[in-house]
Amino acid sequence: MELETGQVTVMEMKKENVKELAQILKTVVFKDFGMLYAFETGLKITVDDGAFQQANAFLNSAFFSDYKVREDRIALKLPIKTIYEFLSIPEGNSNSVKFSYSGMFDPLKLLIEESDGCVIRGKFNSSIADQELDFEFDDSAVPVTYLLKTQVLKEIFRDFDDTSRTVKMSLSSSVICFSTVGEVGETTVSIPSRSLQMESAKCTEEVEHSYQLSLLHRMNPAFALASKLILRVDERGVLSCQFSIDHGDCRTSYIEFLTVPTTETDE
Amino acid sequence: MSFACSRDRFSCGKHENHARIRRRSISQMQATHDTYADPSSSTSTLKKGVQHEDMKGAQFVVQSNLKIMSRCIAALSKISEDVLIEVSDTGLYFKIVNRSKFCVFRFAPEFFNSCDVSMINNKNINICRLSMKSAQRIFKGVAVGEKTFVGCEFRIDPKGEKMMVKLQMNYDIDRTIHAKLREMGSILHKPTYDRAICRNTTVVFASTLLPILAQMKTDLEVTMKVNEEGLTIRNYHSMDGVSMFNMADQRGGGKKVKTETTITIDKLTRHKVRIPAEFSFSLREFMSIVTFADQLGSEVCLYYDLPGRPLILSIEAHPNFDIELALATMGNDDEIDLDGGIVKETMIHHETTINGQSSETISAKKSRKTSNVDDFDITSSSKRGPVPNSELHQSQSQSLSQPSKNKFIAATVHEKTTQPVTDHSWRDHEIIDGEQQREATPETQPEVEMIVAPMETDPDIMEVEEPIQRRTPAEKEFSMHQAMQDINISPRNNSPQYIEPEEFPNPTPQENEREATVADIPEEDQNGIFKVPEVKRMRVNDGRSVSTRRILMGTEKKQLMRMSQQFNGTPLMQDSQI
Repeated sequence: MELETGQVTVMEMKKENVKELAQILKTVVFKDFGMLYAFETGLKITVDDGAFQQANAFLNSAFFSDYKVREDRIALKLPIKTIYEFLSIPEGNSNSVKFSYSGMFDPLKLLIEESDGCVIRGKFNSSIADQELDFEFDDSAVPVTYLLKTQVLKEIFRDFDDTSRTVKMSLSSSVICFSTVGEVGETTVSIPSRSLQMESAKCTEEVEHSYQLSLLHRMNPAFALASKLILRVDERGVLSCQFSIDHGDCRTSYIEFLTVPTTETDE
Repeated sequence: MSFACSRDRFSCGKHENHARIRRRSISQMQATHDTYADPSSSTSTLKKGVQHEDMKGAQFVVQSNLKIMSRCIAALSKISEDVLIEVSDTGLYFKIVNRSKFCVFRFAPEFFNSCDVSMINNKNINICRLSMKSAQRIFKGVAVGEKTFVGCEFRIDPKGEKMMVKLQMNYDIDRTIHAKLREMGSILHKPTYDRAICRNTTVVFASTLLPILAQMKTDLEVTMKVNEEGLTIRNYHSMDGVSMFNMADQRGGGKKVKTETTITIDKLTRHKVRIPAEFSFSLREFMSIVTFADQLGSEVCLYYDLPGRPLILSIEAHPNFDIELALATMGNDDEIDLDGGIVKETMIHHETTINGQSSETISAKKSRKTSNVDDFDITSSSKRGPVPNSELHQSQSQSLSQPSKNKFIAATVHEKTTQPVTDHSWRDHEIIDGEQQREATPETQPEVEMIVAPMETDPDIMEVEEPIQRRTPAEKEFSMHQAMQDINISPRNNSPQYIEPEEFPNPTPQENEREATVADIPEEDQNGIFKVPEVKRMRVNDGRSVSTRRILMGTEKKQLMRMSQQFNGTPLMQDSQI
């Protein structure tokens, strides 16, 4: 480890309870590779599929027990799926992981220590980060915003008719309707704004967009982990789902999914 | 209503200035008839709203019983790929009709929280067909989970192309499904079986039966063998992964039994076997209905006869719905190790001696068979009570003879099942002369009925005494005893080993004397005859008092059976049932 050799690291952090980190990673790793951006305030992990969807995980510096970033603009492309599997190795809660990275061309080193003395070392080669997809989501021009609880919504998303290619969302100030058309026929789930699951709804304009079901399914682990969701759609129909995960002690992490709508001609 | 809102939205919101909202052509927002014809069209909320207004058909609302409905779909899903849904003023029916199996779930109007069939014309055939996959998808997640689903509303128009199901979930969320219905074939199959001619009846708790079947889950077929002492279920080693009861094994000269489990009569709520039989049937359907019964915690009633005649399995425990499954059975034409040839002999023998074997000195097959058809076994313990003879003719459908408990009694005969005049539920057979009806609570019912069972069976003294002692004495047993004696006089006198279990609380000299007589029986004969029942004495300690015997080869049971028949020396009598 760098500490042993005395080399200075560009960034290093330590996290107790590896499971928390593994869970968050799980929500975004729908692709093998992803980007890691380190800032003074925290980490951002981005995964995208190149065309339709992007997932971002925001981990505050408070999430870690020890967090040091010595350079600006650290951006790495990493095999995050493998890193996730690595972080899933230990069981239980009494373990910790150390990250350290000494700069370009050096691997990212991880060290997991378990309470019983077991030590797991990992070295992951990094490469130059890809161009990040910019969805140009304009926060100021959002006609529809909902704040929802994920408790029931996660089951609704999970139970969408698999034989339907798309899910159509009809968003209005009084109700959200999710419709699918599949083998069974049409299925519509509607959540009225008076429902306790909807904490707030703001809608300047009623809109209706369709999204591919496979893309929505990628959000299922995030639904399972998070407690709340802010659902927004911008003028072009790009769906932004921001999940907030509460770790206790007022520490929160956020996951965001940006999804492009399908056009009717694709159906 | 969310639908009202959405309609408003579209009627006032012609702000179609955003290119991103893609609409189909205006022509599609026409009358509802178009939507029926074109299910693949855009599912804009406008049209859905209009559809709802025009939904014709029967409406059913289920709230508390929703889980039962979803479990019934789960059970039906293992039986067939399609389900027929029939609507009538007697309720809602889910049916599966097939050449070798027929299953119907009937829901009375009282099963539903509200039921409106005013728009259904009873003179028509009101059946529609739904694919099982669709049905499963509709009820996905309903049976699981505690409070997620609050209720469900069905709107079924048998003539229409779609069926609407609206599930209300908690937090005011609802799920609406417009399920596409399939085409109905033009042929309506009518079931041709008739419970009245099944000569054997068994009632057993599903929880007793289910673990036995679960052991054999992977088989296509199981064999069931019944005699007066109990019920045996058996499966065979399979050749090439397929086990068929009547396939002769080229090599061994006989099929090898893999597992055999016997439920003795004391574990059966009721067991009346006029013709011991052995047949096989498909396990999958049978097990799915037994699983359903187990989830309800109820009993299953089996009606069966000889191989070739259908096996009817029904669940009759609830006043608002019942289930019936009829399966084709197969007999064994080939010699098999275990029972080769015996089955046939037995059948012939018993067919003709159905009415009153008597004067058997030492015999495993005691003549509990009463001397005429009408003297059915008596129990005053049914929770629905026995019925005097005259009332039998009134009951039309297959449930209780007790007036009014089951909603299908008054159903008119538009049902496909031929309605036998007598004999629907086994309970219809229970006649007591001048005996008042007892109202046993459901809790006591199983206990009490188990008391009854030994009276019907061969007195295996060792065996019967044990369970007797466990039960609490019931006051009316004594009067029942009297009634029994009045009717079953002749056979009883000739069988010194008959026990009257009601007298167990105060062991009378009579009983003691009878025990003595048993002891007098020559030891080897007793062993010989009772060797088969002896298996019952081995209590399995896992709390399920069912004896399991794993047999790899044929046993000497064959010989024993033959031996037992030597003692049935009574002249053969005509089978008056046929």
